[in-house]
Amino acid sequence: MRSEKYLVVISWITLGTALVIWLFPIIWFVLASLKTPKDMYDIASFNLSPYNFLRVFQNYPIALYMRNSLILAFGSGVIAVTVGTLTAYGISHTKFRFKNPTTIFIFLVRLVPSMAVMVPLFLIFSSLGLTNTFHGLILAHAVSALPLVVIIMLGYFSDFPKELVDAAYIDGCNRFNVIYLIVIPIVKPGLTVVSIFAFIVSWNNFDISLLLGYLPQYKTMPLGLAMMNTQYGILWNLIAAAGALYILPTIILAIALQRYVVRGLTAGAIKG
Amino acid sequence: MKALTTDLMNKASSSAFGAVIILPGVLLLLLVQLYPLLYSLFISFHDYRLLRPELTEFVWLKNYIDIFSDEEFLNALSNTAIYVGLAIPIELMIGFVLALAIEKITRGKNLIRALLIVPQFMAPIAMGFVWRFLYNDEFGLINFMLRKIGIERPPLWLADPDIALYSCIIVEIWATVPIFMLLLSAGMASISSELIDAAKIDGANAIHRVRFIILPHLKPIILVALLIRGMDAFRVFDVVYSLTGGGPALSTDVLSLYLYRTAMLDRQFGDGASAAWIMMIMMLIASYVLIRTMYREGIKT
Repeated sequence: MRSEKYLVVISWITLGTALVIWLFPIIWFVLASLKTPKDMYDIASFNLSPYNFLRVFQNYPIALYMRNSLILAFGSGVIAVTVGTLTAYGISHTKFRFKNPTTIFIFLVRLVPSMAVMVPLFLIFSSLGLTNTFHGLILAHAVSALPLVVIIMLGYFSDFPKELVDAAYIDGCNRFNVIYLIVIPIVKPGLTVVSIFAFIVSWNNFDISLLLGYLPQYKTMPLGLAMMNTQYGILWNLIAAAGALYILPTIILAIALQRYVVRGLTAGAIKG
Repeated sequence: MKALTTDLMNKASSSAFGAVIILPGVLLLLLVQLYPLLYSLFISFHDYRLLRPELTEFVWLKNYIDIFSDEEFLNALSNTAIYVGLAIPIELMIGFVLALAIEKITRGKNLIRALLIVPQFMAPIAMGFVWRFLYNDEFGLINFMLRKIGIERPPLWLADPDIALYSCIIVEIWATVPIFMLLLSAGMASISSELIDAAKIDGANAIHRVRFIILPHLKPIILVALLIRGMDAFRVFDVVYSLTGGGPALSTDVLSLYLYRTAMLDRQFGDGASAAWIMMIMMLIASYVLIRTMYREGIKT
């Protein structure tokens, strides 16, 4: 069995290398946000300073972008999770006649190239006056997270005991009581997972804001970040600071809630 | 009493109740996804005028014909083909090796898995900036290291039209390998250890075990992952937008970027819509294969 030990050693070396490749770029970028502008061009020198963070808040409406991103992520998250969970429950626990076509339809929506939808949606939203409004943007964000919520929740509902629901009916619950008192407590881990994912899908979304929410007062973090790039040349120290502020919340969320997150990624197979 | 509760139970799982709670979600998807797509199908057959709608006229397949004689479209099509065709097999291979390594070690499995998927939660736009920072010729880490080891003129990763597309593909691979690793290691964990032990006793070495036990067991997962991630790479927008914006000289222009530029910047909505529908048709063909595979292999989600 000496060869087996050999394999374990090789595995550790492989994983060690992988950790460097996958984490180092992010750490390097975040560290750069703490360098002084002068040090940016000198790779070896490090004088940690909060300068870039102070400057980026002074020079750009970062607080506004953050606020907008949060409004959209929370607003669309609530809608996507509520509506998506109901849909998943209906598909997995009722005799709805068009279950299979509905599932396939939702699955297909998950795969549609988003730009193919966004351009005509821009035309439709424009004619309805929904571009550059929070309710329009929340609607678009919610729908973009919806297929993922349904797909992940279907996984949770599929290993959910039907007998429990029947017992509750025998005890005299009505349908909505059953959902509220029995179903929701049991699938709570699932709800945590889809809430995290709905938040992250919206927080990370770029194209909806690019096409539907481009006016300054509706810009989100990613749009703000992308525009910093073109406006005054590339100010890398400020971009690193804004970028760090933008990516740290999702990374912290993912690490803090990792046991939920792994299940969600595997179940959804397949983040959008 | 008994009859009443059974009646309630039947009602609770009835088709009508199902329809009521499924409806809001489906309605949202119909209105905000399907309707725009159908509208775009309509536009693709018209000479669409945004500001003078009364001048919009039906032009049969003219937009589609125009598209296929448009060099920029063909360029985007071939860039996308290279992008998907190179990235996906490499992602599968690296992901498979990492999954094998994760399943081989005994301690720290969960921690390492959790750390490796961290990049998954980063916005693609931010990934673009992280990598532009690494690729930068003046102060990027990669060229700094290359100069250190004696390469005097390291490549201009994103500025050289001959290699920019491959630099984008590297980022795509970096972004997606963790997902392959996660899916494949979940699949490997579900192989019974007795099977592996029995094979060991029969004298199967590591390569035999991979070939005759692990790979056949993972086949359905691999097929589904390839198709789904293939379609994700096919529609890529954000990462390339923030890395290069399609340049230099359209060398990294992929279909979604072409679509965006044609419709939103050049206001050629008809051409944009027909390009969108060519993408849709390709996606539907791939989905058909995917759904058939999933039914044949008997797996869901």
